[in-house]
Amino acid sequence: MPTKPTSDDSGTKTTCATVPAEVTEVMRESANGLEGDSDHGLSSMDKANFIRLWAAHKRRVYAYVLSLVPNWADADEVFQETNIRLWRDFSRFDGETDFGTWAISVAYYQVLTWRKRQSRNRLVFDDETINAIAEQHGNLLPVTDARFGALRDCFQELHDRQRELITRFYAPGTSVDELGRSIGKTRAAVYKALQRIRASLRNCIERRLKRDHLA
Amino acid sequence: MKELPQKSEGRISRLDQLLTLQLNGEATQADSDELNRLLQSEPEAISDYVELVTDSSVFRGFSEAASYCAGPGRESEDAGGKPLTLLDRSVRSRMHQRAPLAYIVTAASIFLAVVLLLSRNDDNTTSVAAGGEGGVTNTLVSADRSATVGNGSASRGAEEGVPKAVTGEVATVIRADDVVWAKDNIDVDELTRVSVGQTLHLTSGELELVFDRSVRMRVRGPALLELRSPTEVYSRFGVLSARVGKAGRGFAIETPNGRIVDLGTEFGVAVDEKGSTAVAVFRGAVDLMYGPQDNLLKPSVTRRLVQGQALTMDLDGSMRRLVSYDDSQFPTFRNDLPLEAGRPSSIFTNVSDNIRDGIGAKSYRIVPGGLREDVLAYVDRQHQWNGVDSSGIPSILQGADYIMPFNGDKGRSNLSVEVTVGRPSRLFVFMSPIAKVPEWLTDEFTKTDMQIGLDESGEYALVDGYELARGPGKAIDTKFFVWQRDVDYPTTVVLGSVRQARRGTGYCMYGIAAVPLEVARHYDAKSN
Repeated sequence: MPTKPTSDDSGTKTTCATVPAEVTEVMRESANGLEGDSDHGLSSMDKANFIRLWAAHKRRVYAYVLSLVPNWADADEVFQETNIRLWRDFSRFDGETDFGTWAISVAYYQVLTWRKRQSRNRLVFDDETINAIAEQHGNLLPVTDARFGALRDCFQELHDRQRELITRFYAPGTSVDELGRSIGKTRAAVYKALQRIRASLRNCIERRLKRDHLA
Repeated sequence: MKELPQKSEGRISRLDQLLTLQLNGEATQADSDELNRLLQSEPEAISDYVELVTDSSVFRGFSEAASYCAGPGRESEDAGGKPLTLLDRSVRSRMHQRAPLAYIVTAASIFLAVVLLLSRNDDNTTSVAAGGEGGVTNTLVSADRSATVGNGSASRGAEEGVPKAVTGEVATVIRADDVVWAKDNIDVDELTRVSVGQTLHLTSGELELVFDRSVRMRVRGPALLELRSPTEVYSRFGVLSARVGKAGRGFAIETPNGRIVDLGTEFGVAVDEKGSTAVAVFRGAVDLMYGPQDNLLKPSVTRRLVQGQALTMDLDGSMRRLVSYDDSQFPTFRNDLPLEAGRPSSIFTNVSDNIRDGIGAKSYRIVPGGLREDVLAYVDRQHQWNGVDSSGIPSILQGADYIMPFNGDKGRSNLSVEVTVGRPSRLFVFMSPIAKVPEWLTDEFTKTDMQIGLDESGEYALVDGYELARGPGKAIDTKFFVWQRDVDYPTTVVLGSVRQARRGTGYCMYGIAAVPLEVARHYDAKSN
């Protein structure tokens, strides 16, 4: 499957020569799951619209889910269920409604559904905190995009090694111990280095947002 | 005392550490407890947390984009085009073994795009790019001229592809407590989606719905509702409260004799069997319009109600002030629900004053069993009652019935508040230290050793620093003295006005609370 370099919505340039074979296999299985479940009368244009809208909003939805379910694996699960639910219900989506708002509300239900399935001791937050966090997303919405942009720019200003540490630390499945061993640092040192980098990024973001009168 | 809303790097740093442990599944119970405590300690902490999570999700996106494009055994370029040595073999191989769900979703999206394009018989040029943030990779598709997406085709896509009208599911039932459905209504379980045109007829219990357009609604049976559109509900009878987010502004409740339109708010609506409509605004504002369903009168008869106001509108359109109401009349959205919310107060049976006649609309609110940390103190402010220190509100006052008066009445020199007490009780008055102690108080009440704190919101403050905080002893702006009086039989107690004794902040209206007399005496016996 030929591909060519393009940019994602963050402006981060990525270069992908081909889609790896194992990925196309997963794609086929996953898409079969979606398509096989129900095509629910979506036209090709509907599907294209869904992909476009989802691409534009998934970043915010993922951040939302992750804040309510602060565990990578669990958040991925809820995020996937949200994606599937949105896809299934897309024929009912009103074009006049903001897709992001709709997607966030569906994500919220999926979080609640997921919480119901969990034993109480697996839940990090109580209902009150969940509601407070969910509400805060709405309050921060006006600066969210600006913050994404500032973070992207600040990330580019990091030293190569700092950028690499962030990239490796946040890679799915990363073990902090293994990461530390591979770069000759203790686990504590990895965490400490990460905290320092993140603190400098926060300062950089604040400066940029203040400069743009958004902080 | 007064906490300035500024960022605390120490707090953020600790939040960051705790969040990272949570994300990686390495947090202990103590870590989780600390995270909860931090988040509940002050409103700013929630904001910091959300920003930290957002940053983490972006980092994950950077990382996935880099690792996806590189693939095993390859190198990729980072965002700046500089060579980036990716993960060592062991880490990378574990990554791929795990096949994270986001990765699968990414792949599904890509495949979907490809299926879409291949299903068309046009002369397409296909371009699929992967990368992005937020745990799933971006997919951009360039198809033929008419189907181009991601390149300024949004409006065309909306015109041609996305259905305009919502006729299907528009809300979800997220809670159904002890609901008994009417015989003509199929049972609706929790997490069931409900659709336009669907009727909800419950004979008892409480239901909570979340609409897709940022509206949360609580309905208390008996009630009969019909969902008329994504933004409109018809209430034939019953009691409900709605909390409307920004995206839901304009949400409307229709009743047999009128329509209530939200203006960004939280409000309650009670429709009795005869069709009279009572409306109370807890926050924000609503427009109340009189008129039969298809013939709503001109906006000239629209009445705007703001926080603290409540009216009853009869079938003939006449409106009367609802002098007082209690939490049994409207479900509340406050997370710190009073333990006995839903039952009428057995102590305070009525509150009235000599200021407001039927024309005014502000209403006292009686909260049965509701006095606890962080509860609203006044109907017209967001100020909260709290313990003055970490030991909390004095134990005899915890769970007391209390009245939310008007803080705006603190300047009325001729005020007379009549509180009807329906059973033998101990009545408490909370008096600001800035107030000149009035004679009506010293004559009838006794000053105790107790104090209660008022955490003022900044809504009317002329200076910075009035920020609400959660929990006892946090951001307390004024410590009120507690006065008490035993009422041995049902009667009406008259409370008077207050005056400011000296300059200073913290001059606010007094508070009123009560506990059953037998409870108070039991407490006295234990204390002695």
